Amino acid sequence: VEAAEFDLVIRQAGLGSEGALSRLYAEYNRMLVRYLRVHVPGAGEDLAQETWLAVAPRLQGFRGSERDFRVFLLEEARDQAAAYRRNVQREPARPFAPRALSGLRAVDVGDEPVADAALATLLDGLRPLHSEILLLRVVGGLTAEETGALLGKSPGVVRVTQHRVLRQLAKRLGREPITR
Amino acid sequence: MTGPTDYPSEIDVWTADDLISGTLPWIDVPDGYEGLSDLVSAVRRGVAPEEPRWGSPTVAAMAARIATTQAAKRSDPRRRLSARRVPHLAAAMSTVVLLSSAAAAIAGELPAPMQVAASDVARIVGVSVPATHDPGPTTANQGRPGGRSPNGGSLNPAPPTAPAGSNRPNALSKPASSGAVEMTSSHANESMSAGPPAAAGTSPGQAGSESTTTSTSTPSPSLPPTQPSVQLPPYHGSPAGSNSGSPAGSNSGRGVGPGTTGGHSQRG
Repeated sequence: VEAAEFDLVIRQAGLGSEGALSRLYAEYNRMLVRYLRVHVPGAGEDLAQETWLAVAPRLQGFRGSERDFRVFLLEEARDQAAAYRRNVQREPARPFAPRALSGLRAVDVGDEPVADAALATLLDGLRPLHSEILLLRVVGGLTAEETGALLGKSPGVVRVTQHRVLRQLAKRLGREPITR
Repeated sequence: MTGPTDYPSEIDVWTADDLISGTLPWIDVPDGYEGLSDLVSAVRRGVAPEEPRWGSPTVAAMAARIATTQAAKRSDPRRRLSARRVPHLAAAMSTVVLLSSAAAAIAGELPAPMQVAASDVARIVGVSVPATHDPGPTTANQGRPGGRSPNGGSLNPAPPTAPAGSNRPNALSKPASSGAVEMTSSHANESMSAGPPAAAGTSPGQAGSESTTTSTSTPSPSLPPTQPSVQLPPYHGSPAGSNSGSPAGSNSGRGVGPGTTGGHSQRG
């Protein structure tokens, strides 16, 4: 959705227009589902739907740009994932298991097993904070500033952390063995 | 000239930022980061927007929830009240309170400090409002069991000498005692027509012929306001018939005693 068109779409969606809601859904749902599937394996689609339903009544009061809406959506998704872990599973938050992605079917978000496999490879073995930064940056499409705001970190911390993670990943994914 | 010891090559923070955001051209990807760049691109392709599709159950549920929320907002009585009616309601209530206060002030029924303040304010705008009201023993005695005898007669009759010849209620004669003094020293008819106390408290016959003897012989003007409670016992149990000739008896509902008269004479 173009920036100029976004205002109209979000206004119409706030009034309950199914056309505008379909535009928003098509634009952001895949991102939302992939993000949530990493956080709550096996419940990503359900939580994405819950996120949309939670966001829908607040669309009319939303004021901001497309970037703001992306943050708004991911923030709600994080809350939904946390609530799911807290209320449904009845156990504290735990580091996600990226390998759980390998067994998922990609029916609901398109037949793109490559993306799922790539995401699983990217996040494998990372600490929760590092994984979250990568998720928000790559899957969520947020900037370092937006990611930092969502995580309560400064943009500098986000950039330094992702830089360290990329170096670590590059070493692990290197085609040539690292010699010392 | 990259040796095996420094593979993958160094990458700066900003290049890493571009790589992870997908804005780093392929040609600029540092050595050793090609695989990582491929993974990032694959993930990004997986979250790319898709074409809108009609009939999605999630979209229908969103629309239904929005409609429900909007309907609930419209039907919320608190919202309706607060949105438009509160200012009107507040204005109406203020008007009612203002009019009630004004009516009470004109009737002299406000508490003394408020009555004085209301009188001062009303005087500014040229409206005559009494500065005090009659809260004294008259009103108090009316509500008490001792204020009236069972047969309807007053238990607080004026002294027998006070109302002699007067057929008016004692309440009407109370200013007369104060006004009668003036009449004895001045022209009675003139003071009747000019002075408000005389006009209000004296009957024409009383002022014309009996004012001198009445004002000099009656003890009521000299009684302090607290005297009635002291003087009440001698009149307890007096026959109802004894009230018939007295002003209090003819009053028969007012229960005005000498204390009232004395109180007014003091104020006057």
